[in-house]
Amino acid sequence: MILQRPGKSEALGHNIGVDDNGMTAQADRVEDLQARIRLLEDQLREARGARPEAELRQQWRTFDTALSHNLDFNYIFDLQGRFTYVNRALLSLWKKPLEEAVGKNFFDLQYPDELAARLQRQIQQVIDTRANLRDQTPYVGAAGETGYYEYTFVPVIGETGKVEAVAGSTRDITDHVRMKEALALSEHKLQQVFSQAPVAIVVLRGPEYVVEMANPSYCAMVNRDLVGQRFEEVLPELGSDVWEAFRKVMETGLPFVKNEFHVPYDQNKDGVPEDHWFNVVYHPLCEADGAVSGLAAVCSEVTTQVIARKELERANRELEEFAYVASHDLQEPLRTVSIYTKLLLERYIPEDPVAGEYVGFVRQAVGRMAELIKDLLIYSKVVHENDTEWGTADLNESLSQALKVMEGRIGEAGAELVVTTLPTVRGEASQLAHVFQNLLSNSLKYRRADVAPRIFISAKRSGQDWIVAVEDNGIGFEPEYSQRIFGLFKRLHKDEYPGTGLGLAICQRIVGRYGGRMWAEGRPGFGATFYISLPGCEAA
Amino acid sequence: MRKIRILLAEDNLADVGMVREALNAHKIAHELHVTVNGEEALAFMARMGKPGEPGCPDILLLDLNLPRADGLDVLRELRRHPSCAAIPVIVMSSSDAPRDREAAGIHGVICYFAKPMSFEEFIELGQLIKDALGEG
Repeated sequence: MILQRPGKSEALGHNIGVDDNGMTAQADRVEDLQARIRLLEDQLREARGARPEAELRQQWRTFDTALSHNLDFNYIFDLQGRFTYVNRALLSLWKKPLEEAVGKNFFDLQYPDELAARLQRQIQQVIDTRANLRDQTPYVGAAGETGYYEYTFVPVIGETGKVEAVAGSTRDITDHVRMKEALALSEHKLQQVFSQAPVAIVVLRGPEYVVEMANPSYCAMVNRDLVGQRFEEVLPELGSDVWEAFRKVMETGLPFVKNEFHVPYDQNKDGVPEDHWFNVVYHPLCEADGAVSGLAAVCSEVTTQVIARKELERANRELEEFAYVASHDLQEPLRTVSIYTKLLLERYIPEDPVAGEYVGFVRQAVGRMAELIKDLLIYSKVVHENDTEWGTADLNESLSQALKVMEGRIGEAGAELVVTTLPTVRGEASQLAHVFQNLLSNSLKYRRADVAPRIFISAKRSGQDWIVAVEDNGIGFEPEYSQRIFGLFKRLHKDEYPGTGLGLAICQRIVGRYGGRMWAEGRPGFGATFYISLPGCEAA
Repeated sequence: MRKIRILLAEDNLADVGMVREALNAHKIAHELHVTVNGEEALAFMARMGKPGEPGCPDILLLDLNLPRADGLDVLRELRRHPSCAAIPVIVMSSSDAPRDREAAGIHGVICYFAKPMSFEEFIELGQLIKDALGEG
């Protein structure tokens, strides 16, 4: 601007004053002055660092290109808070050319009043404080979509140390915010699950098992504060089983799962650990590199159930013991009664018809008693005997054992027997022979007077199990009795048919012992079918 | 025919009676010494075979289920006896528990007689005694 100023030298000439006599000298002085002025102007230009226009335009293009290919918004305000520069990203958002943006502030650009006021205030703040400013704002886009911007305003400080302008940049952080929101939500949900879970959860870290987290269920369960402490300090009374399990999880990185894990500890703080049982999962917690850095223990207490079950088992054992001992000890005096009555009556009472009848009564009663005791003994022995691992039983073998015993009676009754091939199941052949013997005996006993007995024995597969059916054409029974006939001493036909009422109970007990089930169907006058389901021998 | 000397350890007098019936039924001439509990049986065994005391019996009939001392203890003591250890033993029991059978088996019991329910079967004991003594 100061480079060519012809008018100035004219004005200067006028001011100096000219007379005709000193024309040359004056012209020399003017020339000299002009040279000095040019020199001063050069010096001034140099001092100001001013550059030629072309150089400025080139610099402008460089910055504009760089900033325009930035995905963020970049812009510059003058000290009045008006845009002096806006990059292409922001212009295309506004759908405006640069000329329409320059010189306008946020109000002029139709920003919402509240936001515009805030932004203008913040620009002023940066000018006043000369300090950077960073903030966020939600936005509603042209399509109605909502999002978040983060922006920063920085002062441009001039050579004299004064703020010359304010530069800004804005970034869309919607994804980031949404992700944080989602993360917070899922953390909140997890926290809820963690804190409201009915199972007790504790997270332990490091080789010293420092308690990192414990949910309220866990705190209530152990009845003491524990977060931040070493697990051993909190629960010093824990048995070696727990530590051994922890060690395994940390070493192998494999979870430890155990039901009814016996973990004695002092819950009521009376100084004496009580018995507790838990279903537990100790899960390893791994770092990104795979190293196990801790474990999460999930425990649900089953003490009540375990105690109840143990109590039941004990009561059952006692009952079985009782049945065994009782029937065994009953047998002794009965033997003496049986033998000596006979001896007495035969040897010392002469042929008296009344005495003979009484002998008959005593014998019958003793015989019945002996039968009852024998069956009761068998019944209690089914479980009483050593519960060693049983193998597999070929039911064909069991049936032929039973047929051997029943041969005579089958022949007498003129019974017809149809048997299909039977499977091999889990169990013990001779005990299952007892079941067949009992069922065959029933079929013969409860036959119809006018019809030759017909017994059909077959088997079919049902999943892992085999179902064996023993079907007869006897008198049958009312369907409502199908459960009752398996009860102890339950007899449907007390008067007409002999028996102890223990046969089916024994069968059911035998089958139950091998993990099977037994049930029956009947139709009065048409026959009965007894079903035995037993696990196949390949079942684990 | 020489009388067979029998030591019978049995607390149930009804069974003692049946043993007598069985011996008589098989016409076995006998001298029966009965001890009615385990202690008595052990005391008798401590004396037998010594000078001035009864000699070794020909056979021991032993009920395993004795009061005061267990029948198996009596059996063990007999097998340690300096002069009578080798005599045949018939165990009589109302128990057919496998445990008893096994234990008795270890001590060289010749025969395990489960006391039966009927008179006729009990009388068979006489034959077992004859067999045990090789006097079939």
